[in-house]
Amino acid sequence: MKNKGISKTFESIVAILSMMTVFIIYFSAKQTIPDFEMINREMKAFTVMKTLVENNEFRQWVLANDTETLKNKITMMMPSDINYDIQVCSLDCGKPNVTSERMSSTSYIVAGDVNDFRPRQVVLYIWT
Amino acid sequence: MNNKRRSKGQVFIVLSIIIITTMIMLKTGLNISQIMENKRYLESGFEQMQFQNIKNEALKTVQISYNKNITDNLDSFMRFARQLMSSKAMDLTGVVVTASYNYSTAPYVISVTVLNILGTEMDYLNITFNTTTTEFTNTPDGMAVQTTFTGSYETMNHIMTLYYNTSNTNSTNYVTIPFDTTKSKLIAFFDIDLKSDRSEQRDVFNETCIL
Repeated sequence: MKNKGISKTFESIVAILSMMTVFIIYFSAKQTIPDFEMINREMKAFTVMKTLVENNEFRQWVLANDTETLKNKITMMMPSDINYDIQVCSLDCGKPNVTSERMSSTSYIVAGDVNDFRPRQVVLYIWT
Repeated sequence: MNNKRRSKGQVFIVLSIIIITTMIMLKTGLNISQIMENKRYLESGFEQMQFQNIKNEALKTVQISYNKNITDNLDSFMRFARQLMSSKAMDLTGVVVTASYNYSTAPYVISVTVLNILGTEMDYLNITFNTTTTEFTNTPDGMAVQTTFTGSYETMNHIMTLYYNTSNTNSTNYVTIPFDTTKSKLIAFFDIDLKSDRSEQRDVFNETCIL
């Protein structure tokens, strides 16, 4: 009877040790699941600008730094749960005053137009 | 009775095996490396879209600079794109060539400009057109060199050969010059490469416009 008690204790210890060993070996390596949300949002923002550039007026709005018109056009194409801000600049763009940690940005290059050759970038800041 | 008690004693071992199997199955099903690979694939696709943007706007630069400062504008555009990509930890490198000629009577003069944006000095650059060769040495990164070729060419496609070497590579490009004795033309040739930690995109393309 006493031996059976010892046997049960031994088996339970073996069971716990095996589980712990597997857990430590198999799950100890720190792996974070990659964030697809950011890259998906950036690609979405880029595609929106790529679609807009097919409209010839897009270049005019960019060169005139008409961010209001650009925003209005983008509103129609962006998902409603995404906040965004747009800036047109040369190389150094200021960042919008947003505190979200989930903010990212994507930029689209526009070379210029027939009467105004000035390479610019349109930066679309996106956050949730 | 004895068997029943004995099996109760083994329940811990059996349970642990079931739990371990479940954990392993969960972990295998999650397959982080595959997810990482998918993300890299997605990022590489995004970089391809950005490379396409540079290509399209480089071609647009040729089209909108119609007969005015095409070479300067291409130079300016490529420098801009390069700086912008650099701020995103991507390297835009390559060679941009423009060749132009004006319709006139023979002998014709073809002006050629080669912009080095290889990110390193061209130790040696050799441009050959219709058996005539011009050589340049030590062309720094970001610099353009110019030359002209004069001759009585026929209306046909002529091949201009560019051979260059740097400290770590040597390369040959063939630029087709569609020569036409009745029209003035400009040919812009690009061999550009966009490289990041995740992917590399390279393309050779050209645009011809009638001046």
